[in-house]
Amino acid sequence: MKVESPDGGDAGRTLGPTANDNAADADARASGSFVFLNTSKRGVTIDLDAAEGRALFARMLERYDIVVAGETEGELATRGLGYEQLQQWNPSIILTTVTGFGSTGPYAGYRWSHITACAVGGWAINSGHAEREPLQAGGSIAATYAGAYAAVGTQLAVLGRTAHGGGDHVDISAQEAALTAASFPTLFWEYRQMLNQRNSHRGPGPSFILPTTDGHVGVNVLTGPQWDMLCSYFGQTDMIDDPRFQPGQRQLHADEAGERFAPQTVERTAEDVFHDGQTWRVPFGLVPDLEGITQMLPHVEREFFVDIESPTAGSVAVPGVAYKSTVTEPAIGPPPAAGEHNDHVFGELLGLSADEIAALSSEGVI
Amino acid sequence: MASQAPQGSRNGNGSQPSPLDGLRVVDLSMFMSGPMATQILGDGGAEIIKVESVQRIDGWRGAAGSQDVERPWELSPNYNWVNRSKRGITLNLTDPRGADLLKRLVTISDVVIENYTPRVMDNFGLGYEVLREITPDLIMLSMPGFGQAVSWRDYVAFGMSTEQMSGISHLTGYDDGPPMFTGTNGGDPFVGVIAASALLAAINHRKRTGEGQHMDLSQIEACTMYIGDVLTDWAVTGDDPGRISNHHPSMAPHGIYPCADDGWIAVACQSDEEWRSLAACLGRSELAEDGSPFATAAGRLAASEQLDEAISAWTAPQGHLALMHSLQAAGVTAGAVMNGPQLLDDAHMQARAALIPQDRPNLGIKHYPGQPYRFAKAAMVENRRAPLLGEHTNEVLKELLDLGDEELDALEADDITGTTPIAARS
Repeated sequence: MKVESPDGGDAGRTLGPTANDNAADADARASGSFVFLNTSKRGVTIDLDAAEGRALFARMLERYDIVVAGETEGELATRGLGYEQLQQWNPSIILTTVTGFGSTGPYAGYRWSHITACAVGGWAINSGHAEREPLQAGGSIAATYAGAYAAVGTQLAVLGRTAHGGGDHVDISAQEAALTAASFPTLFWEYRQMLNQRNSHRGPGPSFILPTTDGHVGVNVLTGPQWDMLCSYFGQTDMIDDPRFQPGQRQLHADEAGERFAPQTVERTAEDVFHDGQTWRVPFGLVPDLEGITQMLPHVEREFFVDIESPTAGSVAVPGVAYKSTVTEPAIGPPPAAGEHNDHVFGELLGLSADEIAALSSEGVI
Repeated sequence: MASQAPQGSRNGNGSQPSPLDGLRVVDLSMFMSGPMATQILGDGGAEIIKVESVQRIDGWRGAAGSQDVERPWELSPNYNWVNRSKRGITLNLTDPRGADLLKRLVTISDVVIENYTPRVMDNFGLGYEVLREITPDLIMLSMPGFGQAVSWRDYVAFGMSTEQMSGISHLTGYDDGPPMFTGTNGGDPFVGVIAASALLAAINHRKRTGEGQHMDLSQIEACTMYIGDVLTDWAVTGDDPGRISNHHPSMAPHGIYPCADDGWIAVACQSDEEWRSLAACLGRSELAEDGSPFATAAGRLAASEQLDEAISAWTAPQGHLALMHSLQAAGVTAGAVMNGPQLLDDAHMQARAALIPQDRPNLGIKHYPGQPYRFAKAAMVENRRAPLLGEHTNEVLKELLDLGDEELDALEADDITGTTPIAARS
């Protein structure tokens, strides 16, 4: 159940880019990212900063298992919604807080976003070119990644409650999440006194993103035998015995290797190089744009993209669930309109009369 | 530098046991994506039995800086981080005796996880159909690159290729340059967390229904989930942003700006209010006043280069760490670009005990990133360092399968078990 403020709701609903970006009426702007992040939810609106709203929320909580919030526990407590308060309303409640730096420590409550999580998580220091500014990762991955960890932490708390009885407070830090994705900046320093350098135009292996007639292709290796295979495939067999390209040296001369390989891909299509490399059992990759992703053969074959009907954006294809199960089917439903399920929750579940609901609505509580 | 041990505590009051107490997992996965998932389960209290062999060690053991040292396969930071909270055994699964012992372990286990290409488990005679005969309520997670039943099922993939094929590379880079990697270990960490979530969902399902299952997780799908927001924006607008450096489609200013001593700071104005605060810091409050072209996000987006120049000039002489705190105090979203030693020395990381000290032979105490979540009540079990190769083979085979010393010696003599990779023997 998505709980939004009656005063405009989740800002993500109209966060650009949107369909109808220039519509004067904000409600007509439909954010795709909002659809993706809010599938399979129902929605109510409650003013949690009003005493009446909190009283309503308290009654709801008797019927719910988990509260997920984007504020620190301390911030929630100042609004009368801290973990102790929630436990008074539902003793076995699970509270999950997802914030930039977690609910404890001197930076608790600091503002954050995807780009700052990349920065403080030891991730951006390794992204981009050494002679240019560090880069954020594409999209909002650092934020989404913290969200994935929030799912995992919450699942653990649910299993703990099943096994042992009580609820819990699960406290997520996006900084610490980003650090688990970063290339071991703290460990490389402790193990080798090595400071991570920005050279993410290539990857370990070494691996490259090289030009083709129609875009780019991933020319990657992981193991020694794959490296030998790669050199042979590109007709660069002298590199196999070249001392500069032996294990331990190879990564130091990776840019030179990339320059030797690039002419081998530039006059071919990405698909051609990719499939050819795979027949040599070298882990080449495609580097598709967004449209190309939706058309990639395994996604089509597994029906990864699922059409859902959004009340605002119409029929939209969204990524589905990343695994197939022998026993369960995903059930991906549309996101809710703000307050779409007020009558159901406040009327049918909590037993408020139509008059009471109308009164709360006119007071702006819902 | 960076010598201080973490000060804080990772657990709350410990009034509840670990969530996964009593769960046993056989972990055949290698490198990062699978091991990250089992690290999450192990830290949560599950018993993880990691299976390698002296014929085929986990490839991440090869990530020690130098191979010219004693037992270099024990000195890889990558391996030693991701395999915390596990016991490690060796079993040669290509030998029928090794495969048989693995089946006997599966008989008394709840979960099996593997990240081979699809043909490998069948080659071992250890496919899901076989293992389900032994353990009907088994949960098994397979995590190939592309899926077990697709045309590309035998294609090889690893972190770098899943990152490319998910679109993450397409969206990462300078606005005047080609696609780039993001500087992580490719798509592996992103896949690992989804894999853990899938396993926890299956464990919950079994608790409710008694039913096990096989899950076929596609690594490129799992990675693609992380750009689902951008993909769906594209689906409704038709606009593929490609690479946008450090910009944002709807916020400005939004960038990473130079500071003193090769430092950098990320700043994101997430609202007009934050821009007013930043403009005041810059001594340019007039740029945020009503009537200024920069008072709205649309106006700032149109002039983002001009604003970025002004901000860079202001940040350039300042220290990036101090600047993060002063901007945060002023109400601006800001984060210093931190490197390894800065993270080790960081007061906040220490207060939260974000890094776990672990001792290891020939390495001493190093600080390993813990899980990015804390429980107020439940205990986490994050203190067991990653296993040495085959460290717990005899312990596990004795304790769980009642093997005797003679049998154990015979297995080691035939290299079905062992503690030194065959490739490393002279």
